[in-house]
Amino acid sequence: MNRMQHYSPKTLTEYHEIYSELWSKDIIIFAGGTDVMVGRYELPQDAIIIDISGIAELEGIEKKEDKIFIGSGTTLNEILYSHQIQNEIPILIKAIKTMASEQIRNRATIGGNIGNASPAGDTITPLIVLGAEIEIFSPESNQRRIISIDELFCGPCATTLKKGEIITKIIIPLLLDNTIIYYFRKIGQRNAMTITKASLSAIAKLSEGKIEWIRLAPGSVSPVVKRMSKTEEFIKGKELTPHVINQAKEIISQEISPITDIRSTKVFRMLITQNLLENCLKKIQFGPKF
Amino acid sequence: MNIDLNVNGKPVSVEAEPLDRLLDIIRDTLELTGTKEGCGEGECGACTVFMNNKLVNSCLVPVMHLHNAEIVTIDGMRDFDFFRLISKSYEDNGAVQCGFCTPGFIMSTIELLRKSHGKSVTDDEIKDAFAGNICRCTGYDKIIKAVRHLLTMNITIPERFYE
Amino acid sequence: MNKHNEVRVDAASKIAGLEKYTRDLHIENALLAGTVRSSKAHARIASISFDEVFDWAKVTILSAKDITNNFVAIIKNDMPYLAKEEVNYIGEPILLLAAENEKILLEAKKHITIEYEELTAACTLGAAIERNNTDGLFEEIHLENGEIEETFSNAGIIVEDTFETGFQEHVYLEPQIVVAIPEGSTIHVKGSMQCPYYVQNAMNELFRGTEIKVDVTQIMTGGAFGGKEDFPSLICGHVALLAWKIGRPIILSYNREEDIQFTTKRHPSKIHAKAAVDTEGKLLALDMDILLDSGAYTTLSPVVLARSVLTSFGCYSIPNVRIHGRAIKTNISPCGAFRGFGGPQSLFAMEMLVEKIAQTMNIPVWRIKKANMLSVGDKLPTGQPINYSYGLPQCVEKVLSSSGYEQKFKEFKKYNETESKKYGILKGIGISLAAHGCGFTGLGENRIKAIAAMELLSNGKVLIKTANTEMGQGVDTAYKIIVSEKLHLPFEDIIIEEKNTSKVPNSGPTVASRSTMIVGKLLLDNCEQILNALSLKDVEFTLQDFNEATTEYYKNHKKLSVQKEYKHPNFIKFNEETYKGYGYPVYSWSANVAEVEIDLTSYQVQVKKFYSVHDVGKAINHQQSEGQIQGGIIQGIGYAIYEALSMENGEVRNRGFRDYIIPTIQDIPEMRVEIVEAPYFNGPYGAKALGELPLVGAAPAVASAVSFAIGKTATKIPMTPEVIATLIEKSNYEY
Repeated sequence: MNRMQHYSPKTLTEYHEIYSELWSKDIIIFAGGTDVMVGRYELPQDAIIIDISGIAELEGIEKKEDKIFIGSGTTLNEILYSHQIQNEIPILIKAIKTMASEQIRNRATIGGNIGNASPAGDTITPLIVLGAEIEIFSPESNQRRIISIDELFCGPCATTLKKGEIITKIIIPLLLDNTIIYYFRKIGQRNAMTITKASLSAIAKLSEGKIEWIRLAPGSVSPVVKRMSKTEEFIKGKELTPHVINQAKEIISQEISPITDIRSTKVFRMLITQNLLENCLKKIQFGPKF
Repeated sequence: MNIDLNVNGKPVSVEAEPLDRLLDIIRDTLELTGTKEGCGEGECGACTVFMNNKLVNSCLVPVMHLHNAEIVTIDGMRDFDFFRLISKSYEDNGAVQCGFCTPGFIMSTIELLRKSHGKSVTDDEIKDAFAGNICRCTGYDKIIKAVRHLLTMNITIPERFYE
Repeated sequence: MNKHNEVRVDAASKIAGLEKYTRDLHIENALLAGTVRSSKAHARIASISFDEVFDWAKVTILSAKDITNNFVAIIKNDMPYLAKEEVNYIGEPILLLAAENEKILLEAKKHITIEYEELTAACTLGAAIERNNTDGLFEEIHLENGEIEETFSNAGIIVEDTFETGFQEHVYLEPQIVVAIPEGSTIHVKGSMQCPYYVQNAMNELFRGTEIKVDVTQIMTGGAFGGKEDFPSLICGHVALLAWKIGRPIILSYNREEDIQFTTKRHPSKIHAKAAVDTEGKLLALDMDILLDSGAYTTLSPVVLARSVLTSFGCYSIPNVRIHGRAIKTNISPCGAFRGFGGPQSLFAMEMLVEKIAQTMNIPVWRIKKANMLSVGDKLPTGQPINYSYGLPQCVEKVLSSSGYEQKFKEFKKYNETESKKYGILKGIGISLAAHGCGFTGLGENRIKAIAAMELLSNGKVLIKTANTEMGQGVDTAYKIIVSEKLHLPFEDIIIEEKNTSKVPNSGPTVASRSTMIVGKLLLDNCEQILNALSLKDVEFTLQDFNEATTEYYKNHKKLSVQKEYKHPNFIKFNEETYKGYGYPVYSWSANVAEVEIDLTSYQVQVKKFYSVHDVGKAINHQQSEGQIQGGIIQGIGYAIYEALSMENGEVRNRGFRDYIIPTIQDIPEMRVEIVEAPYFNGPYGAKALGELPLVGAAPAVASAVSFAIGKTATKIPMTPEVIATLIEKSNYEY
């Protein structure tokens, strides 16, 4: 940790220029630092820190047509207190409300939470069900590209980003149907300051007592956060009878692969994920009063 | 690297490594020992300070982010009128025991009072404000009482502490 | 004595961040110390090598061979400061390092390689009992009263089960820290600690045969709860040895991860309890076998076991009792003192045994508890009569009334039958009766011979001299109240001397909830001696009278210094072989009601409300006493449902606040606390113990409520959601 070199580019182009010198070195991308600072003694001595917190293109929340663009450097509190996001993407607000504390959320960025790619990352499941896209910048080519968020994760805490690439924007298509129902619930070890044991984000459309479509993404129960396509397919078009709910619970148990760790066990996570699905489906069925 | 920042209204210049912690600059370099270290991981809130007018865990802020930063610590709050009122409420309500978490709680209290000025605050909102402050001694009850009492007093906290 | 609610004397300075804790001290020219630890649970050290690429000139190294009296003087002196040939737990200190800063220490550690020859390790109670080593039993206690065998063979109804409690980590906000400052042949040891004289004793033994003199000063302590009772002796030895070797001040400051992994924890317990009851649910006999997982060295385990045994029968009148207790050695970090000190473990077993009796016999548990509760004049199984300072019946009446327990008992039963499925919640209400013996166990106080001293200064101020340490519980304020009340002096005329062993007498450790009851009483006696010297004893006097008398006194005298040594009243006798007599001079009592909700999606237990009534003899500072009770309740709730320390093959897997879960402000119940005062004739203004009892009754009350909710007796804490799911769904969801 002695004499670590760092760069604080102010634009993406500047990052590209710096990168051409550094491509062969170990690079640590540093935004808010709430994760990196905890492990700072374990960083390789000769790693270069790229402090992206000052890059202009990573800032800001804006709406263009039917999409919301959130700069990856936006802090969790900036999102939480944004009236725009509160009105347009309540599921994301609900998720961020359960995260950490005021002190952490003033520093932690959405780009960091996604880029960390922890299966327990709480902004991830809402973004997956929202069908978000991720804009990525390559410092090597000085180009940006957009991928679906489903293509970003390839393992626990592993992304498909190439070396040096950074997330620049999170692009969320707005669902303009106000009959759509949102669900987010996080289960941790206590009510605040807790890492997710299991969680569920869901978006669904109910018409005439049947689920027209549903998108489901549980958290902390698979190597990567992903949509439960088989469960979604099964539920689609069905009336939510107890039998259907039980079958859905069975199918989701096939689609997830929870593990045992210091926080919980795989069998328990399996159980509560199924319970979350039931809780979610009942909420959809019976409305907010349930 | 050399960093110029402002701490409790005074300009300060320090020589440090990019990933050195704001907490150590405050406590060791500047010898302002009011801010405490309870965990070093941003979990306990004992190191809470204001950075550019926002509450942060100083154990997680790197020196490289401190260019022209405005830092206010508990040491810089003592002379304000509002501080006397906050202190009295905590004292009168028995909200202090070992005291190690207390400066962190005071900082979060100041922020809650500032944010909620003029508005009514629910118990849930009080509890949200202190999610990042851990106490092992008091069981939190008397802290909540002290804060509730302060919320009835319509205390004005300045938008910025030091101009 | 009037009701006192004074603001704490240290509140303002703590709020302003002005109060100095050990890390805040400005120490010139200090080096930082670090510890190199065993990575094996049980092994012989084969070799230690230092990689040549590292510049070892930057680091001073200390090993066992540098230490002549290599044992930490506690009870049995079996724990070395540094392991010499054999290591007995993962984390055991092998080397000490000192360097200019943290970075050098971390770098140095990476360049040290230790080779081991592994030996069989027994890291759990089960493994240790199977191994059955001759040195594997730290302490064994038998207490028997009445006709056990006969009663059980004639009993119509016998209820039994095995109860387990887990580790608990203190999580004081201020991690362990001590410093040593050499000055000629004196070493000044300072730090975050509960018992400066325990450390003094350990230092005296450590440096015996050298010219070194040590004095020990406690610095304002950011929480302790027992975790800084004996552990500081080890680390004070570490810094003192380094300071001696190098001739520079040494700071040893544990980070949170090190603190959670390698310092003392509450002893886990496994208790098999069996009761014989009559058809009305009256307890006829109790047979309990207590096992305490004690870790690799004796430390305080014999005393923890003693208190566990003497708390095991709870608040009940039981004519025939057999308690067998054992403290077992295991290859893990030594366990130690934690608020309650063996009491929470055995009281949990007793309370849950009664819970099981209630469920087995289908009698509401509160009726059984009330029916079996001690009455004035009853004797404990030790033979100790409960014929003074017994406020438990009042506590029970008050808690039942303020909680609306009986009404809710019916309501919640109905709710669980009819509404619970709809809302996905089970409700529970539970009750516990708890006792805590005040002061040291048995003849401990007579052995300590605690001395408290006071001085009346010529300017009319008084100086209090005790070694009792302020760690948040409010002892400094309590002493000022006691003295102020007696001498009519304002707080600013009462000074508390620095807790420095060269300045204050040995008033005993700040443990066992004794600081107010034992030492506070000595101070009261000191006050009387002062009044006597001033000819103000037994007369009404004002502050002005006091000041005038002082001036008068100082016309003919140079000093007024008084002290008093503690001795139990003569009738307090205890036989340490048979465990008969007065286990404690008096007990404090509490009755606690917990309301819980269990969420059937997540299996999380939420404590919604907690009612507690404590008989503490006399609350010296009412508000601070409430605060102590509230804090203890929340720690007890943590013990019951959140705090799971994960130990695997002798290694603590938890790394910090992130994965050792203690309650946040969003996890607490609505609390209602009341105090009852059944005065103790030998406590200051009737005061007896307070500090630990609040934790003792909390977990059983929560477990009782959980048992109500799920219709099954909880036998194991912590009741994490995984445990709850296993109980409700009858499948194994636990580890």
